[in-house]
Amino acid sequence: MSASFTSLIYTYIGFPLLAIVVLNLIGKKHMEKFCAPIGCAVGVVQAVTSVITMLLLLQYNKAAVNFSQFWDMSVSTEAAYFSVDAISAIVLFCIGMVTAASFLTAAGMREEKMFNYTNVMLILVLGMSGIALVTDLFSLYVFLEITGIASFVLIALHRDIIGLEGSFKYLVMSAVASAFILAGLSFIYMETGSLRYDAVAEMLAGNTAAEPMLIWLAFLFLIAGFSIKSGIVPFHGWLPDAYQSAPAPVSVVLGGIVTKMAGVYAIIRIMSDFLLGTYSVINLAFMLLGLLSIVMGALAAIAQGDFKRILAYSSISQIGYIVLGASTGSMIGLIGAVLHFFNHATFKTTLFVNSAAVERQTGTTEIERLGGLQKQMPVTGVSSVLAFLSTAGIPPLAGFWSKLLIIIAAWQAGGPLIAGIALVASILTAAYFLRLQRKVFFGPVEEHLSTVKEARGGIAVSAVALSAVTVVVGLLFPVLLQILQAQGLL
Amino acid sequence: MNTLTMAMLVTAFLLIVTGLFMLVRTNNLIRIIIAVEIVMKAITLLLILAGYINGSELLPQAFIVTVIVIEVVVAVVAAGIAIRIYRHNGDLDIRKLNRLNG
Amino acid sequence: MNGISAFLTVGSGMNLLYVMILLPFVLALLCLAIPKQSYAAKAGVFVLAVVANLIFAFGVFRAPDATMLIPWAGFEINLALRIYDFSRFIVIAAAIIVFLVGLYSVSFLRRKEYAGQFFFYYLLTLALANGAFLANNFVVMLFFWEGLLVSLFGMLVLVNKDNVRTAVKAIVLSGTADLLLMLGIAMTCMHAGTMMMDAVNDLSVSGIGAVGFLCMLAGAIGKAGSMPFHSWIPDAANDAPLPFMALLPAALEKMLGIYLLTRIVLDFYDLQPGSTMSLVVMIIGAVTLFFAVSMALIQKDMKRLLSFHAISQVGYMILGIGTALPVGIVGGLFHMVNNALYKCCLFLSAGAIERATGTTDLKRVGGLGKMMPLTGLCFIIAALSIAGVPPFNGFFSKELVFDAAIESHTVFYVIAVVGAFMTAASFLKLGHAAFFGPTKLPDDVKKEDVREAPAAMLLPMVVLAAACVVFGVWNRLPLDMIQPLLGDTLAGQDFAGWPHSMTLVLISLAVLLLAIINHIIGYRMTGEGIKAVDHIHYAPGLRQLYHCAEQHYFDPFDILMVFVRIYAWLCYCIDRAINWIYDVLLVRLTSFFSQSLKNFNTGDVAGYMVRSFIGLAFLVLLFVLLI
Repeated sequence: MSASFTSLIYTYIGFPLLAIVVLNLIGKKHMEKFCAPIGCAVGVVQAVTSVITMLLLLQYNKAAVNFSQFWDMSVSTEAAYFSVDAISAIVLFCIGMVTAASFLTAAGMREEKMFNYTNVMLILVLGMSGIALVTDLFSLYVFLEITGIASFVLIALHRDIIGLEGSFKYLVMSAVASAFILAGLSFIYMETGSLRYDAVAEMLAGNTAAEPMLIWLAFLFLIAGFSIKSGIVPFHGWLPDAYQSAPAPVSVVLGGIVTKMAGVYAIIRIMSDFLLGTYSVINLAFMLLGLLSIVMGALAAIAQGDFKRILAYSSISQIGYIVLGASTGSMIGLIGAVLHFFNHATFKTTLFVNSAAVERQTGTTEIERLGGLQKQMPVTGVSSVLAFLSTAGIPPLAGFWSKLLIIIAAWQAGGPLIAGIALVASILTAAYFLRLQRKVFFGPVEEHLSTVKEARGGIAVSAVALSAVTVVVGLLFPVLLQILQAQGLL
Repeated sequence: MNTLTMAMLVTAFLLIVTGLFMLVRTNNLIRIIIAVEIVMKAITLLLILAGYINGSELLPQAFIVTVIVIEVVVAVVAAGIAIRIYRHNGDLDIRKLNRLNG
Repeated sequence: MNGISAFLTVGSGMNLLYVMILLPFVLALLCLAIPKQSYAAKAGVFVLAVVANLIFAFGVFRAPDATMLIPWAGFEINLALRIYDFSRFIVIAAAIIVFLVGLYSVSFLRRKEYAGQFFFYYLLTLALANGAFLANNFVVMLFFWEGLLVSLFGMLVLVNKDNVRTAVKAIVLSGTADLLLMLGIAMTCMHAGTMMMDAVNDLSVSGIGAVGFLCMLAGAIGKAGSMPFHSWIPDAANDAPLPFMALLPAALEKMLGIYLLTRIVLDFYDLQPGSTMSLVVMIIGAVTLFFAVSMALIQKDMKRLLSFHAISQVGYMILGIGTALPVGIVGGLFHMVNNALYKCCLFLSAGAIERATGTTDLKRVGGLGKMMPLTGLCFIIAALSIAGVPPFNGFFSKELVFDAAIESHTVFYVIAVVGAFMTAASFLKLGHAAFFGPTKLPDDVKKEDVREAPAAMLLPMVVLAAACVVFGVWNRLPLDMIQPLLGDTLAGQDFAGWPHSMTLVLISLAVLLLAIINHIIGYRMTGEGIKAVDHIHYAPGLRQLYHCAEQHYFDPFDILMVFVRIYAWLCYCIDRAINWIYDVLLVRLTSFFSQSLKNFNTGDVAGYMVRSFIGLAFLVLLFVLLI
C-alpha cells in the first residue's frame, strides 16, 4: 500500500518535472504546438491522481499517509517527509483542475509565448503541489517561494508595462511576506528544535515552551506574512493590481489557486494541525481579519470599472470567508473553509475564464465599454451566471453549502453578530455581481460589439466543465459530507 | 536570555526596521530591491540566533543557505523586471508605476 | 424474459421502487428529445413506458413488503419508499388506468403536433404519481405531490398557449391545497415527532391535531378535486387535450387524493365515527356531491358535464371515508376504483366522439348511436355504472356508501340519494342526446365521415366497460383487495356480494325509476333528449341559482380574486415607500463607501506597504491586549 502511495508522490511532483524535462530536451520549435495539450494533461492527471488518493484514503481508512523518498521513515524521525491527507487531496484536485483550465484558456487565447508559459506554469504546479504535500514549516517556505517566483515571472510574461508593474508590486509585497514568515519560523525554531508540523503541534499542545512570548511573536509574524500572501485586508494592496495586469490564462490560475495555496492553505493548515480545538487570540485575529476582508472586498468591488478587478476584489472577499471559517477552530468551520476553498477554485476560475473569453472576443475588459453579450456569447453568459449564483450562496449550488457551514461555525464561535455581518455581505456580493452581469451580459447589444461571437475551443470547454462541477458538487454535497464524516477524515 | 542573544535580537530588529523603512520611503526601484535584501539578512540573523539557542548549528546553516539561494533568485527576477520597467518608462521611479489603481 | 420474471419475483422490492419512479421519468425525457417528425418513435417509446410500468407495477404487486431508505439531509429527511398493502394496491390500479389511457392517447394524438410534449408530461405525471404513492417520508411525498403541479400546468397550456388563464387557475387552486397540505404535514410531524409515514399512527384529532388534520384534509381533497378546489376542472375540460382529462381529473388525481385521505383517516389520525371531525369531512363530501351534480345536470357540453360528474363522484368517496365506519371506508375506496374505471370510459367515449366529429357540444352533435355502436355500448355500460344500476360496479360501491351514510346521519343519506337521482337523470339525458335520437352533426362534418373509433381507442374503452361489469357481478375480487387494507378496523365484516340492507336497495331502485320517469316527462315536454332536464333547469327558484352559478358568482376562485386585487393595491402603496429607502438611500450610501475605497487604493506600492504595517500594528495591539 505504501508503494501505491509512493507512486502517487511521483505523479504529483514527478510528472510536472518530467514534462518540463521533455519539453526542454526536445526544444521549442517542435514542442510549440504540444505545449497546451501537455499542460492540460498534467492538470488532468493531477486531478485524477488526487481523486484516486482520496479514494485510497477512504478505503484504507487512514487519516494521512506519510512517505518520504530519500530515506527510510523508520530510521530517522527527524527528517522531512511528505504527507497526504484529506485536505491535501482536495487541494491537489483544485490545483489540477485549475491548471487544466488555465492551459485550455491559453490555447484558446492563442498565447504567443506558449513555450515559456508552459515551462513556468509547470514549475508553478510543482511548487503548489509541494505546498500541499509537505509536513514541516521550512519546506513549506521553500515551496512557497518556488510558487512565488513562478508567479512573478508569469504575470510579467508579456513584458508590457502594466504586467511588469503588477508583477513588481506583487514581488515586493511577497518578498516582505516571506521575510515575515521566515522570522516567525525562526522564533518557533528557537522554542522547538524542529520545524515539523507534528513537533510544533506537540509543543503548542503541551505548553512546553520555555518562553511563550516568543511563540506569540512567532505567530504574529506568521499571521502577518500569510495574510499578505493571501490578500487579506488590510494587506491586500497588491492583489487587484496583480490580477488585473496578468495575461488572461495567468489570471485564471492566479485567481483560481495560487493566492489561495500560497496564503490561505497555510492558514488552514495552521488552524487544523496546530490549533484545532483551542481558542486564543489567534482565532480572534483571523476572525476579525476575515470579516474585514469579506466586507471591504465586497464594498470595493461595487464601484470598479474593470472586469478582472471586480473579480480580484471578489476573491479578497471570498478568501475572507475561508479565513473566517478556518478561524473558528471548530470542525464545522474547517470543513466549511476547505469546501469554500474548493468552490472558490471552481467558480473564480470559471469567472476568470469568462473574462478571458470576453477579452479575446471583444478586446477589452472595461465593463463600461461592454454590454449585451448574453446573446452573442451564451455559454459564457450562462456559466458566468452559475458561478455568480454559487458565489452569492444560492442553493442548490455548491457555494451555498460552504457559506452555510462557515456562517454556522461563525455563529457558534463568535456569536450572531459576526455571522450576521457575513450573511449581509452576501447581499453585497450579489450587488457587485449583478452589476457586473448587467453591464457585461445583459442589456442591449452595443454597436461595436455586434460582430462578437462565442469563444471557441478550450475556453468554452473549461467554462462548461467547471460550471458542471459547481452544480454537481452542490447537488451531491450532503452525500459527500456524510461519507467524509463517517470516515472521520475531515 | 544572555546578552549575546539580546544583542542579536536587537540588531536583527533594527535591520528589519531599517529595511522596511527604506522600502516605504525610497522612490528608486533598485533601492527597493536592496531594502528587501536587507530585511532578508536580518532574518538570516534570526535563524542563526535560533540555532545558537537550540544548540544545534547545522540545521540552521542548511536553512540559511537555502534561504540565500531563494533570495538570490527573487532578487534576479526583481532586477529583471526593473530593467524592463526602465526600458519602458525611461527611469526607475516607482511613482511612475501607478497606472493600476482604484 | 427470464431476467424479468426473476426480477419480479425475487425477494426485495428495492429495485422495483427505484425503477417505478425513474423509468417513466427517463422515458419522458426521451419522448421529448425525439424530433417531431417521427411520431412512431415517440409513440413507441411511450407505449414501452406504460407497458413497462404495468409490468413493474405487477411486480410491485407481487413483491413482499419492503422499505427503502437513503439518508439524505439530516433531520430525518430521508428518501424513503415503501411497498405495503395499500401502496401495492394503488400502484397497480394506477398502472392499469395509465396503460389503458396511454393506448388510447397514442391513437387520439396521432395528428396533433403537441404529441411529444403530451407524452413527456404524461410520463412525468406517472413518475411523480408513483413516487407519491410509494413514498414513506412526508417530505418525499410532498416533493412528488408538488411536482405534479408542474405537469398539470404543462398539460393545460399544451393545446393553446392562451389557455394560461385556466392553467393559472388550476395552479392557484391546487397550489393553495398543496400549501395547506404542507402546513398540515408540518403540524403532523411536529405532533408525532417523526417524518416517516409508517411511524405516524393514530394521532388524536384535537387541539393541534385538529388543525393538522384539517390542513392535510384540505390538501388531499384539493388534489382529488372536491369543492372548494374544483372550479378549474370544468374549464380544463374545454382547454386540455382529452386524454389528459381521462387520466388526471378523472382517475389519477382522485386516486392520489383519496389515497392520502384514507391514510389520514385510517393511519395517521384516529377518526372516530360520529365525532366532529368526521362530521366535517362528511359535510364536505355531501356538499361537493350535491352541488357538483346539480351543475352537471344542466350542462350541454359533454366534456363539461363529465367533469362536473367527476367532482360529484369525489363527494361520494369523501362522504364514505368521512363516516369513519368500516363500511364507509371500504365503500369509499371501492368507489374510487370504480370511478376510475367508469369515468375513464366515459371520457374516452367522449374523446371518440370528439375525434369523429370535432366537437362534444351537445347542441351541435348528437344521435351518433348508429354510426358508433361500440362506443355507444361502452358508454351505456359506464353510464349505468355511474348511475348505480345493478349489477354494475357503481351500484355496489354506492350502496356501501349509502349504508354508511344512513348509519351516521340520515340527512347525508337523503342528500346522497338526491344526488343519485340527479346523476341518473343527467346521464339519461346525455346518453339520449349523444347516441340516440335523430342524428345531428356540425356543419362541416359529413355523415359518411363519422366512423367508429379505431381499434387502439376502442380497446381501452371495451376493457374498462368489461371491468365495470366484472367488478360489479364478481365484486369479491376487488373487495378482497380493498378490505384487508383496513386491518383491524374491519373487525371481521365482509361486504362482498349483494348489499346487506334490502331497504336501501329498494330505495335506490325507486330513485332510478323516478329518474327514468323524469326523463320521459322532460322528453315529452321538449321533444329533444338534450332538453330533458330543462324543466329542472328553468324551474322558478332554481333558474336564478343556476344562472348565478354559470356566471361564476359562486366560483370560489373568482371571489378570491376580488380580494386579491384589493390587497394588491394596498401592497403597492407600501411598496412604493419601501422602494425609496432601498433604491435611493441605500444605493447612495453604498456607492459612497465604494467610491471612497476605490480612491483609497492609489497605485503606489509604498501605500500598500504602509497599510500592511498599519494592519501589523493593529495585530500587535490585539496580541498585546489579549495575552
